[in-house]
Parts: sequence; structure tokens; C-alpha cells
Amino acid sequence: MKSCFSPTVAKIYTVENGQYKDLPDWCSFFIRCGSVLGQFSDESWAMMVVCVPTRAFAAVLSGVGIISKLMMKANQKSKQIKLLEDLKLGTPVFVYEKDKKIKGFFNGIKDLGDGKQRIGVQVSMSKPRKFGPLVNYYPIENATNIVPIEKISASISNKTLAPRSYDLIRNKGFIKGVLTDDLLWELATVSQTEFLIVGNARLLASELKENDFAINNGNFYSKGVLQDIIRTKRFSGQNDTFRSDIIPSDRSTFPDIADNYQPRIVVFDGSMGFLKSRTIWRKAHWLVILDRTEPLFDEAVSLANELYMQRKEDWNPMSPDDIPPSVEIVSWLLNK
Amino acid sequence: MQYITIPEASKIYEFGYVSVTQIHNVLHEKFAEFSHDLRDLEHGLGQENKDNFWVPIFRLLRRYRYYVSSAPLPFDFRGEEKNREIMKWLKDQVSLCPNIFPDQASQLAKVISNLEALYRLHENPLLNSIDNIISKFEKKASVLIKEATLIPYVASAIQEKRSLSILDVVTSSQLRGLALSQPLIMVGASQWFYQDEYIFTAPRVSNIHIVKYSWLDCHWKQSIELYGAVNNPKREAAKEQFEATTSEIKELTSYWINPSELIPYIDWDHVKKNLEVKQDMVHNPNAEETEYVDAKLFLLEGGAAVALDCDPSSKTTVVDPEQREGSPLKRMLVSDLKPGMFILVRTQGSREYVAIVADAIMGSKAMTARNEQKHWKLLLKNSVQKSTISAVVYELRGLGSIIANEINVRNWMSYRTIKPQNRSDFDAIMRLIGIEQNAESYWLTMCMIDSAHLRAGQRIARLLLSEVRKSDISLLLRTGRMDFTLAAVGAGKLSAIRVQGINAELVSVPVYRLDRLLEEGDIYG
Repeated sequence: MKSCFSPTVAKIYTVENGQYKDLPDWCSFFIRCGSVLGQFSDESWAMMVVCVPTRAFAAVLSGVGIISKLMMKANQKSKQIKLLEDLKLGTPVFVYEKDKKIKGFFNGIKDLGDGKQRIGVQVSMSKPRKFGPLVNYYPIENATNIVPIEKISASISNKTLAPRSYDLIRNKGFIKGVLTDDLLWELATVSQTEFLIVGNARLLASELKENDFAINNGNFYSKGVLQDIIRTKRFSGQNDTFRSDIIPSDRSTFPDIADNYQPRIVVFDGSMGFLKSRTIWRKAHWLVILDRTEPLFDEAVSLANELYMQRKEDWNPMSPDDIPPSVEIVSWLLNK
Repeated sequence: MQYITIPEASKIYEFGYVSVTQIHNVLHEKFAEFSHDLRDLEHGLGQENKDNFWVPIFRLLRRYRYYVSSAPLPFDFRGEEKNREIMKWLKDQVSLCPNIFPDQASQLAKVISNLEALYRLHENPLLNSIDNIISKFEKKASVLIKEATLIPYVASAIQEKRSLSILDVVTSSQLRGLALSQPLIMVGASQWFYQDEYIFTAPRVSNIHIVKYSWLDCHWKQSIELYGAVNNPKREAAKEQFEATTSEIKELTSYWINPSELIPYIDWDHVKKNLEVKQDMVHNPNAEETEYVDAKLFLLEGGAAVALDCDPSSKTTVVDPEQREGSPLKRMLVSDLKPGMFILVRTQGSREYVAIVADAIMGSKAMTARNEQKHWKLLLKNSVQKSTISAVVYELRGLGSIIANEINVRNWMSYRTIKPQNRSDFDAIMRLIGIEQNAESYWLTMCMIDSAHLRAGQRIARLLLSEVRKSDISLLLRTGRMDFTLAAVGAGKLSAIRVQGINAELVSVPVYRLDRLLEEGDIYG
């Protein structure tokens, strides 16, 4: 099967017993599926259904493709400015400066008299200052460097926190094989749920965190795991940003969480999640991965066929020669 | 679902669509004659084959024909003693037949005579054919059979021949995982694996041999199709070739039997009748007091079934053999159960196992406690029957109940709850049913039962977990069933069994029949 994806993605290697091996064709196929959906416009609702002999790694590899394209599309800066305009004063934030990450408290967006908007951040100090807390002002163009912290609940008056530095990006060399430098920066500084994977959280955890991949950077290989790229919230550390999340498919109900997420793309890793949550996230593009060996495969295919019959138009982003012989795929567009 | 690495997945992706190396047709005149005569007899009777005279006869004969056709078993695989017992019973039916169905008497006699002749043969034609096939293999081979319950018989047959020691017996559930590194021989008609199409559409081997009796039709076509799918041309070509290979030209014999006729069918109406009839004074002398609930019927591996309470909040215990961390046991809503899961059922004992252990914990106080529980619930039920449930709700509210409503009152009457959570609701019930003077002592008793149930549940869970961890859980995946004896707590025998199907219709079932294995004779036609 000929290679049909971006040159950067094609440089990914698997690591087996210390040896670096070319990424198998079927892996590249799923990255391609993710890329295709990731760069699709939001005017229509795109669906892609893939029947596979095993679900292993299909969802997480498609996530690599999704991230690589979604991030190129998004206008992160304007979104971040809007976020800060609506942010409450005193909200704890991280400020990213070069390789440092500093804690502070949001102090509003102000014009300091020169006609330029600046973002104020009260920086935490180890000792109280004589003239009050220190407020740094950053150009509005650097809005993506200032990120609200979700979990810290400290108030302005109660605590003073020493500034601390953190490593921004783990396995930078590996991620560079998929994303350009400016996108790398955005990946490491902005959190939002671009896409969801609905599947078996236990298996996805192993695939995301326990398997080494590598990028050849010329003279050496840079290793990493897929979690480094697709950054699911579930498996991110407290100081890490996230770009996706995992919804366990064995949940009893889904509608209660529907409002918590507005993803651009949803990947259904297996029949159960697809069958249970088919009425949710109707504004997102869908990639449905159906493992033929699953007990609910027949039901899931029936549902997919029902949805296919309601299609607005066919859509064929893949040529037959690009598809592994073990795989069947159908894609179409629906009205939103 | 198990974890699969990238190299393991790559092996699976190599296979594409399965191809068939060869179909091996096995000839055996006597067995062919028996099979055809049985079919002619059944068809000739028409609707009368559902008569109570014929049902047990056909159940026995059909089952034999199916087993011997679907696995490499000798004709006398049940053993001399069992065969003798069966033959005696069948001959009794033969002697009765002229009085009941005179037109079919000679046909029945012929079928039974043929069966008797087969019982005398320690021949295994399917296994002989397999022996010939594997003589060309250098390494191990796997034999795929439809019914996991036949694995011990097949293993025993294989042991008789040294040349067959390289054979592994597998079932279709074992072909959901990793790729096989050895050739695969499928026994019986490919149509029998219609529920397991992945054997062909997502194969774990590159090609298979099919071994079957010559009179069995073997025609397979993929039934689950993805509309509008785009395939690699190689897949399309392989699929067409496979379907063509398995659609044989009928030149070997003019008398083919459709394989779907051989599979024992589940008589759901028969099952429902057995469950719904208000009978069984042995288990429940006070039949009028028996509580009935709506239940769903689950078909289990090996031809068993179980009825489970389908109340939205009802849960059951599930065993997850692929759970790597933590406990493989978990409680799951009955409504979330799907085929392929393993549920825990009672295989011994007439009562719910938690109740049995709870009674043991309560010791000498158990009988009195249970009688008191039955007493107030029965009185409450009578109150509802005398008027309406809404009226009872209204009255209870007036008597001080905080949360009385229709659902709660139904639950309070039912086995599902031991007592109301709030004392005030319980006191209101006592006032309603006119035994307010017993409120204090009854409440203490209900609390004792509640506590005993909690401790019983914990004790059973601990013991069960210990038993499960001691067991070879891979056996559960292979055979679809594993038995556990919790003798230490007196809970009897429990079994983890794979769910194979779920009947959509609800059935009204006495509470004491819930979670309890229904025997083969209770479900198959």
C-alpha cells in the first residue's frame, strides 16, 4: 500500500525490543483517517465507519492524525483572547515564558496608556512586597502563553506562592516529528478537548502510555508515547495540558456528560460506545471503528447502515489501494 | 477484549479475508441413513412433531445427530452405560408409538434401529479424516468445533490416537484474539458459525480446512455487510473466491440436508411455560404467597438458560476474565448485559445465595426473622389488593410516611428490598396493616436481616474472588463455563457462564427461579 500521508507523520517508527521498525501500513492508514477528518470543514457532518479485524491501536493512531490537522486549522490566539476577556479577575493562571511556567493570578486586560492592550498577571512572590503584589503585563499577542489553571483554588489574599519552573514539554523531539514548532508550543500551553475517544479506557491507557514510538531526527531517534501527542485529559498530569479525552464505553449513561464536551471529532473505539452514545455529539465529525470480533458488531453495523441511508452525499477520501485488505471503510456526509 | 501489541496486530492484518484450502467430505452410509430417516420422520409429521410424545424423542435424536456432525466424536461417545439407558427409553417409545401415531411407527422403529447400530460402532470418521489431513503438517494444528461443551469428549477421542497429539481443540471465541501460528481445521458446516462470521471476515489464519459429513450442505455467504463500503480489490477477490469454494456443486449425493435443520432450536415458549406456571409445591408450599417479577431470559453456553430480574435497577455479578488489574468480579446492571459476557448463576440450591448465607449468619434467629419479614410484606400486599396502590400510598402518607409513592410501595412489598430506609415509613406501614404494636421489634429484626445480607454479600465476594483467582481463567474463555463451590459459606454451587443470546420478550417468573440455571431439558426443542 503506498504511503498517502504527510511526510512528517511517515517518520514515526515503532520500537520493539530496542529496535526501530517502520510503522506498518495499517497504522499509517489510521493516521491518515484521522488526518482526513481533522482537516474537514465544519459545514457538514462527516462520518467515517471502518470495520477492522482488531481494534488495537486504531483509535489512538487516528488521534495522531486528528491532532496534526486540527491544530493547524484552529485559530488558537483569538480563542484565547476571548477566553481571557471573559475570565474572572483573580483566577489562577500559568504564564509560559521560554521554558518556564509561572503561577499567578489574572489581573485583567488593560490599556496602559499607549493604546496597546496588555494582559495583567499578578505574580506570586515568596515574600510580601512593600508596595503590594507585583503585576506583570504581557502583550495581547502573547495571549496563548497565559492559561487558566483548572484545579488550583487559592485566593489572592490568602496565599503567596513562590514562582516555580516546570518542564513544558516532555519528549519534545518525538512530538516534533508530528507538529511544527509553533504548533508544539500551542500543544504544550493550551488545553481544550478537541476530540474524544469513546472506548475501553483500560486498553486505551496501555496503547497510549505503554508503547514506545520514535522519530528519526537525522542522527538519532527521539522516543515518546502517543499520549505525548494526543494528550488525553484522563492520562495527563496536573501540570500538563490536554487536547482530547477518553469516555469509557462501559458507562451506564451518556447524556449526563454530553454538555461537558463540545469536541470537533469523536472517535468511537468499538461497538458499545457507538451504540450507547449515538444521539450525542451530533455536531462533531465521527470516526467509528468497529472490531469484527466484538459481540455487538452486527448491531453496530446495522446502526451504521441506518445512518448511511440518511446521508446527504457520498464522500470517498481514500482510494481502494490505500485501504488495507483486512479493512472495510465507508464515509459520507450528513446534514447538521 | 484483550490487549494486543502492534506486532501481534500486524500479523492479524496480514490475513485479509480467509481462503479455504479444501473441503473434505466424509462418507458414512449408516450415519447418513440415520440422518435422512430422522429428517423424513420429522418432516412427515408436520405440526404434529410438537406433540408431547415426539418432543422428547426428537430432542434426544436431533441432539445426537448434531453433536456427532459438529465435532469429531465416535458414534458411541456417550459410553456404553448411558447409551444403553437411552436405548431402553427409546425402545419404550417405539412400543408406544403404534397406539398413538400408528402411521409413523415403522419409521420410528427404523430410526431407532439405525441409532442402535451406530451405538455399537466405535468409529470416528471425522477424526480419521482429520488424521489424514494433518499427516502433511509439520507442526501443530487447531481443530475448531462449534460447541464448547463437547471439548472433553473430543479431547478424549484425540487421546486414543498418538498421531493426533499435535491437535489443539478450539472454539470460535478463541479466534477473537491473537493470530494462530498453525493451520486450522473447521469441523462441520460453515453455516453453523453464522454468529461468528469474524472467523472468515477477520481471520486469525490464512486459510482453513473444512471437514464435514458428505450429506451436509456447506454454503456460506457473508450476511453482515457494510453499505457503501470501499474495499481493497484483493479483499473483494478473496471474498468471492471463498464464497465460491464453500458453495459446492451437489454432485456427491442427491440427498443434502440443510445444516440449519441440525442445530437444536430454543423453544422460548416452552421455557416461558415452565417458568410461568404457578406450580412446584415442593419448592414452595405456599404458592399463593409467591412473588412474581418480570424477567428476561438469557441463553447461556452449553445450552443452558437463566432468568434475570429486568427491573431497571437490578444488578448481577459479572466475571471479566480479561481484567488484568483489580478484581475480575463486578456488579453490572442486567440491562447492560451483552452476549459474550460471563455471568454468575446458581447451579445448586433453591434460594438466592446471599439469602442462604445471611440466614447462616443469623443462625437460630433466621427462621423467625424471615417469618416476620414475610408477615408484614404479605399484609401490605393484601392491603394493596383490597384497594389500589394509589390509595395505599395516600394512606401511608397520612400515617406519617415520608417517601411513599407507587414505586416505593411496590419495592417494599417485593423481595428486592428488605425494609424501607426510613423508620417513619416503616412505622406508617405497621399502622396501615394494623400491627403497630410490633413496629419496634419488627424494625430491629429487619435491621438484623439487612446487616446479615450485607455481611453475607461481603463474605461471598471475598470467597468468590479467592476461588476465581485460584482458577485457570483461560479455561473460562475457552469452554465458556467455570464452576465454583462456596461450601465454606453454604452458598452451594455457582457457575460463571458465557451469555450467548438474550430473548427480547419479558416473562413473569417466580422470584425463587431467578438467577438459577435452567436445565437443557427445560429449554431445547
